[in-house]
Amino acid sequence: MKIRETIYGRGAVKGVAQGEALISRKTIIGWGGIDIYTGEVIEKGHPLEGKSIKDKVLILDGSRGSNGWSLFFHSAQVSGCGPAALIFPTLDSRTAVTAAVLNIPLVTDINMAIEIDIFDLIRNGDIVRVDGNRGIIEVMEKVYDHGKI
Amino acid sequence: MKLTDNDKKILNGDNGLAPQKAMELIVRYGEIVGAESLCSVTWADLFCGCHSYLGVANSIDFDEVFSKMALCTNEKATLEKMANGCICYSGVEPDCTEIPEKMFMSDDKKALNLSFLSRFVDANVILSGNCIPYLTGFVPIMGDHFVSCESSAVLFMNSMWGAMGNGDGIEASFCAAVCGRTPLAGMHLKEKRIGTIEVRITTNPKTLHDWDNLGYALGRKLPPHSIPVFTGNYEKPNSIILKTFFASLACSSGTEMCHIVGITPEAPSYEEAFKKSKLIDGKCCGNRKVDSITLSIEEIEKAKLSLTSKDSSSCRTKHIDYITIGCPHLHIEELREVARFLDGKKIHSGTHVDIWTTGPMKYMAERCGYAKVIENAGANILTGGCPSNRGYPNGTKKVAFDSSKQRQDAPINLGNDNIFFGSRQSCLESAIKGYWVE
Repeated sequence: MKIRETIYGRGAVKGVAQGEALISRKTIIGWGGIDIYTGEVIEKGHPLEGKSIKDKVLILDGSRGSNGWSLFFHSAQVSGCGPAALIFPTLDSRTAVTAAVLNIPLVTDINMAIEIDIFDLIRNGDIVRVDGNRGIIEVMEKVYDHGKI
Repeated sequence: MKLTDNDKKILNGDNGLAPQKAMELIVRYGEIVGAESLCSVTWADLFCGCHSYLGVANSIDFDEVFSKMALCTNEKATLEKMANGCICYSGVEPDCTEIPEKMFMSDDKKALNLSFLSRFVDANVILSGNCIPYLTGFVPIMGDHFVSCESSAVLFMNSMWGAMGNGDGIEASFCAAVCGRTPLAGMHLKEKRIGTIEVRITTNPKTLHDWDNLGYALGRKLPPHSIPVFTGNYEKPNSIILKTFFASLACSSGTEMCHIVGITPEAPSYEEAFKKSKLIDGKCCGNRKVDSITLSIEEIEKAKLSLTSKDSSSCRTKHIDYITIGCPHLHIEELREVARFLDGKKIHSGTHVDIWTTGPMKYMAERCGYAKVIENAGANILTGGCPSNRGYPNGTKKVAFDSSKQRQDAPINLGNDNIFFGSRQSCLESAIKGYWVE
């Protein structure tokens, strides 16, 4: 696969993983936003409602709601339905804890305001490679049926 | 990251496997946020008991479950004691000690919950059973480092008296309590607590419900990572109203800290709230111009309407099965007001009403006679949890809420047309009539 875009940030949890992007400018609510036994997003009216976080590269900006934010992603991981890698353009304490708990590759500190808006560059279903060792995100050049989000 | 000799000893396993695993998570968390060192946690508000999410661990062995779900390891560690010098509260529990049969737990689950809680008691955790620790003796003072599993409590204690804590997460709170340390980052650092955005309050909110709606609408509008600074001419809210306001704001946003000019200690003035800043064009600025937002009455009304049924035509003909009051848990003064309303009245025979508070508040309500009045009217006073972690009575079809936070966690299968959100007065009147009364 050819690389369509390369985005630079800070690798905050080491490791390399690749998967389909699950991306939303609107983050998921902390309590009851995810079915912990299937990994499905169940927040009513959320752009990702009905999609699963399982094996995905999860791209969200910040947390919302309960301090149980990490717990839902963690529980899904214990059920075998966790994401493969994380991209959090900016961190807050809840997203940082989520990354520490899941212990999967994370790239963060992407300067969206000046350089790029990652939420415009990546679409749901794009294949994305997250290199937490070097802080590099590679978006593959492969046309997917993005669906409507 | 710079670790002390004691941190290194814990990390090395000198204090046992549980503190070692807890420290590993805390160090990983610290590295992710780029913390230079750790700080000592002296207050920890946790999430103890046999909560339903623990089912994914597929075990009834406390240490196995605690290791996997709190310490985030597949190695089985034994929880001995929480860290020395850290006062620990159990937080919200899935059990009501006084009326356990109202919590819809099977006998097995009840026994398991009690056995889990007794392990926490052995580890020096106090069974607080509430989401309002700051009203029941959990009072880290200005500059104290705390952790709390309650987003509204984090916002309250950071803002109202300058204690220092992050939203973190349930696992990180447990790990901090076990190893006694947390990354010196975010709200633990004075310079990160400076206001980022001015919020002008122009709608003159007065009642608890007004502030609940304002918090919900504002949370939806605030940019991520905001520290709002409230300005404007409005009637000063009391701490009971702020308890609700902070719950709705924290729940609909990620806000961990705010300033109320003239009220909160880190904002004696507008300039202080944005300190390290300088005045440009009469506005207070850091490196950039301070953004300012205002919410209109229409915006607040629109946000409120999104929480209640649009099927109002059928309100009078369709019966409300279940009404929940008290999120966050009610203060004794709120129980007094509920009792005053219900005195001499009877709740509709087909409507189930639960009123949520915490043990010490219920004890005071019993001494004052409020509890008897409320129970005589046909409502339950429950402690410890809420519908979010207990669930709803079997067969519930239509539900009313007096709290936007609890409303946002309404059962998905009910559908929006069967959910009502309004003031506590509306909920109590509806409880008497058996159908929704605005």
